[in-house]
Amino acid sequence: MDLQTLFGIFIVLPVLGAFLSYSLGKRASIVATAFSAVPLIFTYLRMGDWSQYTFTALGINMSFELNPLNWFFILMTSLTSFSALLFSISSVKERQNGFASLMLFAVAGANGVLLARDFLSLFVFWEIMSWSIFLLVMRASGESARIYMIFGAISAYFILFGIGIVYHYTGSFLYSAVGGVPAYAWKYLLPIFIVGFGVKMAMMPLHIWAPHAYSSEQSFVAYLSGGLSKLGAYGIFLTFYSFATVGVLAGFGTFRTVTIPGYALALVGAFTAFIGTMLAIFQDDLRKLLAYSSIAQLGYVLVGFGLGTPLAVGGALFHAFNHALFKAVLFLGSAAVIYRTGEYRISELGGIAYRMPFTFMAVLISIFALAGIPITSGFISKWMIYEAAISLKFVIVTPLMLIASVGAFLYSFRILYGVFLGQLHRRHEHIKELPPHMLAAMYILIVPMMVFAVAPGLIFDWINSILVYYGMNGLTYTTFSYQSSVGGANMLVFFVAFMAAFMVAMGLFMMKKARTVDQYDNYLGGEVRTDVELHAAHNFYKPLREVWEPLLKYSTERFYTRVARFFAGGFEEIKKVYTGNPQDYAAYAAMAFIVFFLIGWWLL
Amino acid sequence: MMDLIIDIALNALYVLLAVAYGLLLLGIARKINARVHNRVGPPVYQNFIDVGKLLAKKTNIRHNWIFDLAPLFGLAGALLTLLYIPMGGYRLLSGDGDLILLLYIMVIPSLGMALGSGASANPNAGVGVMRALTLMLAYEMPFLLTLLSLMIFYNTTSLSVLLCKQQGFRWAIFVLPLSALAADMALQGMMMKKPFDIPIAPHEIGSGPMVEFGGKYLGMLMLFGAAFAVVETSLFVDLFLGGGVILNPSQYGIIAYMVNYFVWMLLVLVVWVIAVFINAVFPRFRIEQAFKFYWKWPTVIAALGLAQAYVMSVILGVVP
Repeated sequence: MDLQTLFGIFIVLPVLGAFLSYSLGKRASIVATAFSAVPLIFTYLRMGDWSQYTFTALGINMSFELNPLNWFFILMTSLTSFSALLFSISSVKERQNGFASLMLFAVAGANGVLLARDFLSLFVFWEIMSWSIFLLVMRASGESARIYMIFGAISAYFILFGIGIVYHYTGSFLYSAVGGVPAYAWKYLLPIFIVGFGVKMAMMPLHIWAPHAYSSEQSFVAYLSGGLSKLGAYGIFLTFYSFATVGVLAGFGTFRTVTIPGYALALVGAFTAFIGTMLAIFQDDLRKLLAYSSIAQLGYVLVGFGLGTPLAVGGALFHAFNHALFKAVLFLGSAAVIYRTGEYRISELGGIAYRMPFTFMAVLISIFALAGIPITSGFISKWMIYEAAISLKFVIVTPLMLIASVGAFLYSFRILYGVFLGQLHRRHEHIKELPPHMLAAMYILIVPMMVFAVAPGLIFDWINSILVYYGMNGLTYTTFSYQSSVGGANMLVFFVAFMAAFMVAMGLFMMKKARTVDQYDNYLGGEVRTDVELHAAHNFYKPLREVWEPLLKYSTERFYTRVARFFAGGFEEIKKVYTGNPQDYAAYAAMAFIVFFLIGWWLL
Repeated sequence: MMDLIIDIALNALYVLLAVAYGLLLLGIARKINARVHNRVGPPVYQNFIDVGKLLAKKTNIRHNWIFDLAPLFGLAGALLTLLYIPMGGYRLLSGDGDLILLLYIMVIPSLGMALGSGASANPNAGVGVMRALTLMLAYEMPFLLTLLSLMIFYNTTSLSVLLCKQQGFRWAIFVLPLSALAADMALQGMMMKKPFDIPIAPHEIGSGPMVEFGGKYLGMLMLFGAAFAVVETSLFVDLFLGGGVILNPSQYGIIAYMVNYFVWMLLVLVVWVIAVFINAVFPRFRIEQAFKFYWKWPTVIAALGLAQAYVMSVILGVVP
């Protein structure tokens, strides 16, 4: 396909859609959904149509490209944006036109970031995306938006800083020229780019914007967490395997075949996964719980990129894909609950599954994927990262990841029990199931999870082409099974066995009939209290919290707040120079003149 | 085609035998418990009678469709786990999936049960599942470290390979005794035997997750419990005691399979009886005590075991 089509479909079309939907008022999201569907369908159809264009505009070399890597990422971002917009048709009630148009601006920005093959367009589109997110978070809370803004600015400065260094050495903005950067400069460039992109991924300790930003409008957050946070992963992949390349990384030394920067990244990822999980367990706010879970899951992706073996990188890409799907469904589920009940505290909900069974099923399957139950594809990506770490015999990274995945069961069940199971409150007795298009928005994302669980070979074809494109070895797999150097699994055998076992259980189950009773008809040790609500979801993991209490008092957020207060105190003093008296200002000007004069005299 | 049918029939036979053996183990546990407490106790076949009675009950109570997932997922998951665990050296499906897959399959029945009991709207069930999950986080810490020490030392995550490398009494318990000790401590919590029977604590929270189940539901969950008694002990036997493989099947043929199976049954019984004796004499921990215990001593022992495996495998280059 030619440059005009590429540019038109992925960037111009969403921008046009943004302006159009803004002018439409109440129908905005419907139009926006249609506009976001076009790039999605187009992406899916144009797999394998790789092409690259370089041209000069305003005297600067610019370049755009469609390759296996950004095709893969565009697929997940457009899937999540489509489904988030489809969901928002009913769920966003206030100023829907603003919401839809900002979403489409974010889509255009994200597509631009992914397609760009020069740093200048990368930065411009990065900022378009970042500002749309800022305004979308702003719709819910100014305070959250401010916190996001600070970290967004840090991210932008670091990326700009890195671009400056690259330009200094190469005199070009093109990715293809990065090879000209001398090896010693990567000592500074690597951390700069990792911080810059890591913010978007909510890497620890740069994660604290996420719980705030993820508490805004949930249908947007489905796209933010599912789609846009993957741009950080994309950036880190590019930094490691396209800009720096393995040769440069290995120049820093290796630790059992893994490069030192890679090992450091894997350690950061493993700690992110562990700490994020532990914090998620104690959240009572559904949105914050999912936010911490999102931080933790992207930690696995970092580990995969860090370890750098084909299995690990493939696993990380697959996990990014899975996370895009299941976290989008979970945030849409959260949006659904908030849409029907107006409540987001887990302890105030309960029993929603009896009234919204289809929403519950979607959330349940996503939670299977999140926890890594083999029924969904979430297991396979985690398995790949584990096996990569085990075959490298890493004894710090592996246990942290494994125990984090056990912790994931804890917070998953907090969602399942606290929100969907347990006792249905009387005030929620009349809520209804979601309308069909909202359910469709969720189930669109469920389908790939199930398909890739039975036949992971289909997605391994895509991942393999990415690995080969970046000069790595391929994976070992067939349509239904996959191997590492230390183990392997066959999903078809698993599903057949599971079905057989399920049939046996079903046969035994069907032999006798059962009578249905209501939720108040249960065993309470002889004490019948119908006037008290008995949903045991308040402070669910209290004993665990008490054990962890001494550690929970350390908080990155409080640390930042303290730093901020320190500086704010200092600036408070400096602020006193603005006395409001013109004579003082004249005196400052005179003093400044004398200072400049003296310095200039000394310099000359 | 004939091979396939024989294969399926064999697998079904193994699974059926395992469930029956599990019920027997539960009966033995009741008997030992009673004798330690100076009671007569029920006969060892009491659990067969119980399951039969429960499955034959005419009155069954259910709450909603999610409630039904408990016995369905519970039993299906338990049977699936049995298919993936080698019993007496017989591979079943374990060649088609490794230890990591097995670990995640083992979660399926518990997850189904947690869903079903959560759907009963009984607060005791919620508290029970909370305790079960907290306990899981507690004992998985040492258990995963011991698994990692095995996987690093033998450089495999496949159970079949692990069994092969332990043949001829080169059992992992002799090579990595610290890991074996930590794994056995974790096993006590995994089987929810005292002092770690906190999630089911009958005197506090009315059997916790089980509180609302009766009739066929309880019967199927009892089968799940029986299967898991075998799965958990068998996991320890496979990991550390060579899975009971003392004769090489390629050399002795069918006799080897039978001898290995009986040795496996014996080893499972030994591991089970040790746990039952500890169960009989201990009182119950509180959940936070259990958590602190597991993240302290067993974790330290498991970490030492891991260090030993790491030094032997990576630094000294021992290849078992």
